[in-house]
Amino acid sequence: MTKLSLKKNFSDQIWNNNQILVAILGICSALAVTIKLSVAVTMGISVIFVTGFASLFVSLIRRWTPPSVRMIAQLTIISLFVIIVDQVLKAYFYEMSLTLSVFVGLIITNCLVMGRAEAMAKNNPPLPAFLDGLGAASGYALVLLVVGFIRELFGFGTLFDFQVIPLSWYASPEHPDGYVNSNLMALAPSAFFIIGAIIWIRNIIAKEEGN
Amino acid sequence: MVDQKQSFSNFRTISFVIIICTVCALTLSILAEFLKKPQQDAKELYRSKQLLLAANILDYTGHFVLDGKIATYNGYLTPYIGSSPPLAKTIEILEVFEQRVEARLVDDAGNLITFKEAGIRLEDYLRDHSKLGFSHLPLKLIYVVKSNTPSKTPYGYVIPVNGYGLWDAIYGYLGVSHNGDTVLGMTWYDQKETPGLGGEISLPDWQKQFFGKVIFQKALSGQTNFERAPLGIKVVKTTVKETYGNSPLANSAVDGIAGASITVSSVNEALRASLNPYRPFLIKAHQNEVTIDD
Amino acid sequence: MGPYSILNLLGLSIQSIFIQNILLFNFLGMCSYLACSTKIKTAHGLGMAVCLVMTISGMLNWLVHNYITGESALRWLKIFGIQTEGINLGFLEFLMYISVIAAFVQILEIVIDKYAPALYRALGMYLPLITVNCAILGASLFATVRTYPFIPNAVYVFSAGIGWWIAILLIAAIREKLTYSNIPKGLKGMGITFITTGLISLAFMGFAGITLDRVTQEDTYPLLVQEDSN
Repeated sequence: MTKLSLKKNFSDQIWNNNQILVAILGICSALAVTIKLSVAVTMGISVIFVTGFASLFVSLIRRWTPPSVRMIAQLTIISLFVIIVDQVLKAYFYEMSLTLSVFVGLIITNCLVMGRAEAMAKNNPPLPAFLDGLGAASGYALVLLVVGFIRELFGFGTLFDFQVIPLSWYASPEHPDGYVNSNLMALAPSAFFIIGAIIWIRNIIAKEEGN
Repeated sequence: MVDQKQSFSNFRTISFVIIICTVCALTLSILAEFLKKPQQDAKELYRSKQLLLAANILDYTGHFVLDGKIATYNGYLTPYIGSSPPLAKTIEILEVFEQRVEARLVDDAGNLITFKEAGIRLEDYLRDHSKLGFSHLPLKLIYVVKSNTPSKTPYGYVIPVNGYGLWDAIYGYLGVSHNGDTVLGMTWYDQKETPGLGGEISLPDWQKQFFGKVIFQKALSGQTNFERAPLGIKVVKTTVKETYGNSPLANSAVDGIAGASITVSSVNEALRASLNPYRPFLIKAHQNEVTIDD
Repeated sequence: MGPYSILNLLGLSIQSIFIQNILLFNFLGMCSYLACSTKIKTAHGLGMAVCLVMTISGMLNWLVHNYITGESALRWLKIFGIQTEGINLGFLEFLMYISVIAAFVQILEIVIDKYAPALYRALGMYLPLITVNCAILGASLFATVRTYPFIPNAVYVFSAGIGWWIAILLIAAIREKLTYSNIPKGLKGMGITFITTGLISLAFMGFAGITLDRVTQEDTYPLLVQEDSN
């Protein structure tokens, strides 16, 4: 396994084969958790951790896994890491775990994690599988970051809860024509619109590269 | 021959399953054991913070507060003189909470009862009734906040309020001073309202308005009839200045949130419904009839 | 049934199907569908399968939560003399939920294949696909967070399934029509589907405000007559 191909395992997942934009996997939880950057980042890191290590362990035991219980074994390993993430969040990031509530548990059924395990991990050696998992989840986290960035900036005027749009720009009784936060961005469906737009942009760029 | 192979494969499958289950369960059990204390602490810290915020002992920037001024903790709170006060540490917050906040029960006649006297376990009580609220029960939850210095008069009380918002139930704490009337603070710690609109009720800027308001609505003459006055804080549609001007009614009202009319009326209803059952107790507090052992 | 009246159950049902539709409001369960196809027939098959699995696994998971993994859920072991104070198996909850779902789907597939081959042809091929459907685990998790009693829980998971089915049908129908529309090249396929789904979800938000599912309680302290001053 050359170093170049190992690196490719990782980088391929971020643009060419980005799981959300191309394979349309893993969108379930992508939408409700992108409301603020801090939430999106936490979710992204959690998914990277889970996908990487789940792929690693699925690959490690692939020679001993009986085919009849293959899927449930994968699910068990994925659940193991999701529970680890959930317990750690509850202990050290309590308020974040309240915001994320059930979405941490839903990483188990996140098609992206299962998809990587089925597609790569069960047939490949541990190290490429691990990198592929990390890469896929990184691509996913990147999309989450972009959507979260746009939504928080235009929906609340803040980034990481730090006021970015100057308060003096806002509408007030004195000048009622001032700036107002976009309430649409604060609602979950806006994530759909943003992802749709990103897919469009990506398709245009990819098409130009292909020509 | 085939049978043998089959049973061997079955044996392999079953042993594989057992091994994986055992390994996973073992790992998780060990992890859960290690994380049990941090998790409990985190939960306690969150609850303590909300209660101390409502009682105006902690402010939104993370500093301790004493008589309206920033303070530091050294066994008890002392005013801080200087330009860069230290933030309250986790361990300090938990100690102050332990020291000064005690959960008690109030009955329909307004008597204060400890959990021990009532023979109820706090954890069971909280678990059974947190969801639907405490104000409809014959024995209602109230948090007694003791003074910074030992005294028989409490510093104030925190009453849990709850209701139904636009999307889901809303839960908060309302702190009142020992006179049973003046508000110390209001927090809404659990709500699923629309972010940017109804969700504003969780923001410090909106919650700060409650400080100093009175929950027994004054009559137009300026007097308060504690037996019959409406109880609660009214969130008006526009601003208090526009709606009430200089009328005594302004003392029980706060500004509304544009575009969040349903959430606003939910808050009004929640306060009204949750506070009313505590009326006999609040009247007793107002008449200085409530004492606690120090 | 707890403090829920029949009217509350109806309200809960409406709430789960329209207002907090598990696909259009919580965005769960889209992966398997979007990657599949644009036919209404597929949507029916998927919808039926998901509804069935969601309902039964939702009820089974309620039992798991209330008798194994919830807080002080192990009280019933006192009958056997086993002291369970301080034992909290909450950390196994996710693992048990997904295992119950996977096991149930597996058993269901075998049973249907054996006893109802026609039904198997209709929805059998979707069953393995929906084991990892976010919506099914999601419905169980939401029900846990909201701590429903048994019957409201059953009503909730069933209605969530119906709601998912309806939402899937809507999207399938619209996608079928979209194949004849003049969409910019880059948006064709997934791009326009996302935007459409966003629009449908915004529309469904208009249902908010129906309050039938709220539990009303008797005041033990009588309300005084209030003078309404504005």
